[in-house]
Amino acid sequence: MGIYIILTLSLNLEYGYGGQPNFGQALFYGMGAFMTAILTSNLLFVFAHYPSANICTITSLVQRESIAASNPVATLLAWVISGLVSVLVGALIGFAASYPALRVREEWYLAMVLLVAAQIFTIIFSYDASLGCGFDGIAGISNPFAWLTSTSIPILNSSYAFPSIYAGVIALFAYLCYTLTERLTSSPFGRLLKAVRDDWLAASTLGKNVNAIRAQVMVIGSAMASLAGWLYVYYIGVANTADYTSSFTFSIWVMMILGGYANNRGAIIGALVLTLINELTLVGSTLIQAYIPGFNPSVVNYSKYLLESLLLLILLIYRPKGLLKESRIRTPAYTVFKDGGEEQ
Amino acid sequence: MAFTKFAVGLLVIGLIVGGIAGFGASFALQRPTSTKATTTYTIGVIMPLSGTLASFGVSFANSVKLAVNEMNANLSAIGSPIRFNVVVADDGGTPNGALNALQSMYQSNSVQIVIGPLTSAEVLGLRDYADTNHIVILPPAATATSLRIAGDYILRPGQPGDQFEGSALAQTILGFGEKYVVYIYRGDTSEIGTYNITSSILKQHGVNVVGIEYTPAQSDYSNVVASASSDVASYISSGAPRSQIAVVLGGYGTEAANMFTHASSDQYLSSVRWFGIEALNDNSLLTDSQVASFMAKVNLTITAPQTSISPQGINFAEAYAAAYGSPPEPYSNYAYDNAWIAMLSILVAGTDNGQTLIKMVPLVADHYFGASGTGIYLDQYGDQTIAYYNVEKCVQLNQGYNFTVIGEYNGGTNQLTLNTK
Repeated sequence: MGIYIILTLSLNLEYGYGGQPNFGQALFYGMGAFMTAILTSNLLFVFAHYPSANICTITSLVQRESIAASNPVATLLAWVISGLVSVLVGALIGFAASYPALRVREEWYLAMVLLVAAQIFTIIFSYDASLGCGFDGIAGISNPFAWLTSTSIPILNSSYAFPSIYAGVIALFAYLCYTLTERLTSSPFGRLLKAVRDDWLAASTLGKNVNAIRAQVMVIGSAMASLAGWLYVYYIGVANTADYTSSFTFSIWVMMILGGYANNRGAIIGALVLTLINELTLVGSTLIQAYIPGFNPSVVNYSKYLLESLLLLILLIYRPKGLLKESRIRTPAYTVFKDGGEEQ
Repeated sequence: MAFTKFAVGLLVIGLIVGGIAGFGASFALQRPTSTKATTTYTIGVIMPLSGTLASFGVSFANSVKLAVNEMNANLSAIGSPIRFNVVVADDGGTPNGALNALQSMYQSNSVQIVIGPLTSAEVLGLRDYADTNHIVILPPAATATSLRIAGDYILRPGQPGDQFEGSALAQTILGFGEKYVVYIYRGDTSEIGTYNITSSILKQHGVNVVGIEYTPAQSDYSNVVASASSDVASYISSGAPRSQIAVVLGGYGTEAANMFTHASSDQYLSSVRWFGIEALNDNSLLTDSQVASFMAKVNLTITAPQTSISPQGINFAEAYAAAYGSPPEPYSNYAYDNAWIAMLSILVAGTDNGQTLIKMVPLVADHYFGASGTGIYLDQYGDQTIAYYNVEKCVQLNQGYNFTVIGEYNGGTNQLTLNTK
């Protein structure tokens, strides 16, 4: 849930506020994930003083799981460093990918360029095993708090403690991303973003560097998506290209459209609603099968797609701006104005 | 402030929904022993029911349901109070989908044993969760060597792992006395894995190996063939006898056809023996006269899994067709067998507790013979070790070209028997 919130906030910043349609969200998310997996696999060996090895072999997989379960210093260092580098690389790739495309006349060309870039990323990482271990991906990326099970602290060494702690960490990062996007969009930078989105020509006649602003928002959004990739790999334990397809990108789009453009709370609501639909249909399907033997699970499994489509159609007809309307920019001046009682 | 109110409201609603869900779940978790008369155990199935692999996922899930129906009919006939139930979840063919499916199954139904998922990538996605929560996973057709991990909750009594193909190929090349090998292989996980295993064994036996990885789905492979030709020429110029030089092709389809066509006009490549993988036994290659004549000329020798047909396998195929109106997809028999092994393990153990089943499943599997047509023996990694491969050579027959069996490889003993060269 927290990971989806970060991704939706990032897309909302790029498209909702900045007007940059990013159809390559899976690229930045996946790049963050693979960068994390590659770095972690190598850094664990360095910090634990193991000889370097091919990260795709079973031996190295078992070794890194063993290090993660017993060496907190190496594990946490690898976790933090891989996170920092992933975010940096995500930002750089966001800049590199957008640089030529941002100069096209139609912003939807950017969407196409990023969509293709995401496809290329998936193909390269699937077929070139020297990069990401091919179709199997890079496995054995243990929870950064898995070493707690080897401690003697009664509550913390249970098998439920470390997943719960990591869930808390994800929630914390989701909150930080929300705060960051709220502050950004409530600042003069946020006003500028909206100005460029609504009329880039007018903004440029006022001396604003439209390309630079567009690149900046892409850099921030991509860095956030890579951050989500970093968190995700440590959650699931494997970086695999099957999780970073274009259909995933469109799921994030649905979350954003559902919640409402240019509204960070809307992004959270969108992620929440769609995740709940997915979870409830999955759990509902298994519960119904338990009570009604022979029940066809596909009826419920496919119903989620129908439900999502229906919800989207209804929204586009009755609330085309999403569940929550575009939020006001909460600059300090606005706050003073509001507190003065002029505006409620 | 407004958002704080909203967040608090959302939290309250979430708590209410969570409470209701928890109350409902408490009933659900009591369900396995719902009446005094019957005890129902739940078998989970996680498969891609949507996406490109859906046809396999549906067939595998149906195979498990078939096995459960048969078991329930037999239990009912003998008056047993035990019944089995199946819950199926769609994972969409992704690691994330597999993890979500397992989480929902475990949280809503307390499932302790699961048949699936389909691919090795999906299995890797749920592996950590399965290990942490002691849920036994039985994937029927995930064969990657990356899953050969001791001590985890993944057991693979189904299709033999990829390592056997590599070993069978290496033993065959050694059996023909080759000392110098040029190995052309497709740049995908499966063929890279086979290359790694094969070349490693060959090198251990003192064979010189040069690997040439090629990019899949290209329109022309003349550069790859030229590179292989150069390597063979280099061996010859260094004094190696042609009878000890071999070319191995780990590729298939139109890519292989293109390479064979280029190689047929190459003086070096057409003068040494070729080896290859099972996928080269392909009608499109055998019916292309230029390609097939080259394959026969260079005595193309491949290793291919033996297809064993047991009475149980015939019964399974007939029962499946009768129940679902179409034949099962390939490898569905492994899903059917895994379901039987899971149910028999629960019956023997008297519980579906995962920590008990992880010890019981290997015992039952090692004494099981089912629709797959071979016995089962699990190694220390929990993987099937009984694997038989045929060694086949391309020959010219009266009405064209085909492969003929010239030997056999036994994965259990790692022994190769060649009837003729």
